[in-house]
Amino acid sequence: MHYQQNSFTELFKELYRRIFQRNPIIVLIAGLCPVLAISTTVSNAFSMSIIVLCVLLLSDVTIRLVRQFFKIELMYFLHVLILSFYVTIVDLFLKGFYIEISNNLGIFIPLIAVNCLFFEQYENSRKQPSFLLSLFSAIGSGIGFALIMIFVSFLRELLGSGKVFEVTVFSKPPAIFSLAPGGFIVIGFITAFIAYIGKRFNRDDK
Amino acid sequence: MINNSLHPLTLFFNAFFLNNLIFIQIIGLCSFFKITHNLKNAAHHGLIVIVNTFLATLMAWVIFYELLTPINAQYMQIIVFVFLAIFIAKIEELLLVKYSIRLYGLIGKNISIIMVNCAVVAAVFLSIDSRLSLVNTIIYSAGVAIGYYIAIILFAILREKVSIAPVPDSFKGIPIDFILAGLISITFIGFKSILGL
Amino acid sequence: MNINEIRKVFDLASRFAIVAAVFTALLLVFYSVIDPVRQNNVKRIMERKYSEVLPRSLHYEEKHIGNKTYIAGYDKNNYPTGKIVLVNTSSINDRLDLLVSVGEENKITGVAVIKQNKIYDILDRSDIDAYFRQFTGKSLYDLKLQDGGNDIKPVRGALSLSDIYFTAIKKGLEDVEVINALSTK
Repeated sequence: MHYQQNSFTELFKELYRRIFQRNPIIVLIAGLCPVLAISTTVSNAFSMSIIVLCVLLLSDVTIRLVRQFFKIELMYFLHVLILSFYVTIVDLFLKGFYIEISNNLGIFIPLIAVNCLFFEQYENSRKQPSFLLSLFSAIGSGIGFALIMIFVSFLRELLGSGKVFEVTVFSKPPAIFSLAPGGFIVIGFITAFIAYIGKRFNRDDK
Repeated sequence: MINNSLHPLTLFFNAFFLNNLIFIQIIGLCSFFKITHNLKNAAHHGLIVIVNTFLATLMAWVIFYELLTPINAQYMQIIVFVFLAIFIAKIEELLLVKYSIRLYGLIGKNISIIMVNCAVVAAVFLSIDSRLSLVNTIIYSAGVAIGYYIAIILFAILREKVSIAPVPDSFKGIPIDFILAGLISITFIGFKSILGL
Repeated sequence: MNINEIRKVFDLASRFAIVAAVFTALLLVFYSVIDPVRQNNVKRIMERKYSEVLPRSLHYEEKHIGNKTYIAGYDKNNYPTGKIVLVNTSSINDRLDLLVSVGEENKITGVAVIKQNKIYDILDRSDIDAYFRQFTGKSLYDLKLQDGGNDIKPVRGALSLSDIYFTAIKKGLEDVEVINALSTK
């Protein structure tokens, strides 16, 4: 392991890049399964984002430490092993202390172990020799994921059940937004909106 | 609710239509959006998913009840099952390379995408956690896989039609595909509410 | 496959096996620490739910008879107050667990939900509680008369969910009948 001097601006530029320009969900369409399925309520989305962030950080650090003993052929298996290990720890931890969250998230905790988002991050960090830069990239992915999740779940909860933070806004809400199709439609509109903003900025630059 | 007391046909129908993996439970989207650009790719990918799911759930059931439960190590299930899915895919790839290069050229690329297919692993977890018997697991996994196959074929066909339709500029490409998936999902949910369970 | 290839494969596999063994050992340690905590938590939550459905009981004991399990409640004189059965239709993504408790003469004293599908969290808790309160004092015979009657009003805005609850409560009462039959043999 060799150390590189990374200035703060470089680190934060990487963070910014991860959240906004290469957002794992909107731009790279990785790790989409939990976003659509968990974002029915804001509290679910919040718990999921925290879990994803923790697993990203822990597994990135662990893989960096263990990677040096392995050659390239077994790299994929190593990634899977470490990721499933941390997912199992999270699963046992939630079942022990926060069983409500475990019931709400259901099958999506074991499914974190095959989520494309993490493998994309590991590939990125394998090509990246600097430790801090890949760490910040992981934090950026996690924060990007969290932002999208919380935003989508806020819209879905508001439109689908009329209640946000226990304050009733609508009295007869279209419940379709709390079910499966609502996730697709909300994400579709968000992606379209982001594409529209991107086009506006590009046109202004010219 | 999926449990052992359901009639096999009800279980099958539940697995492939009423609790469709993609449109109702929203599992397995990672490869869903990447593979449905092309109908031929989608069909090959779907067939591989069916075979993989069948093998994976069968072996997972055997491993869980004969190996993990007697030594009280059920917490190892996540690691063991994910590795099982990967090994099956890897062995398939090796066999294809060794015995039929032509077939590998046709469908081999789709196997490497499948290495982390959410659908295979999800079928395994769903059937093991519902504590189904062996026969019910086979039926359930077949239903899940066929539901996934029908879903991606359907979506591939519709996506092709939508890509040549007049769509506003910001919606071209991915956003309109999401909304299309949402509309299909609404019809599935409608059927689910009518047919119960 | 010559000896060099075999040696290379063996080297890779042994390295991987060592790392896998290390992580498995860590997982074993973690599991043995956290499982007792989980069982304690589950027991605490369940005792709270038991006292909701079968009040005036001091402690609860789990009993097995035949292949059925039920919870018997005892008051401070160790006199049995009633039975609680768990109607269990859960899988990992689809959940409904109900507690149905009966007192003397096999009439319902309380119904409570332990786990339910997150879809139904949209509904008001108070509506569901009001629905369950309609069941107190009813026996299996009364519920069988209901098939077709509308003495019990369903939850507002959730007809299918009310049906599911109704079927589950009836199944609970049928389980109690089986338990009673087995214990008098």
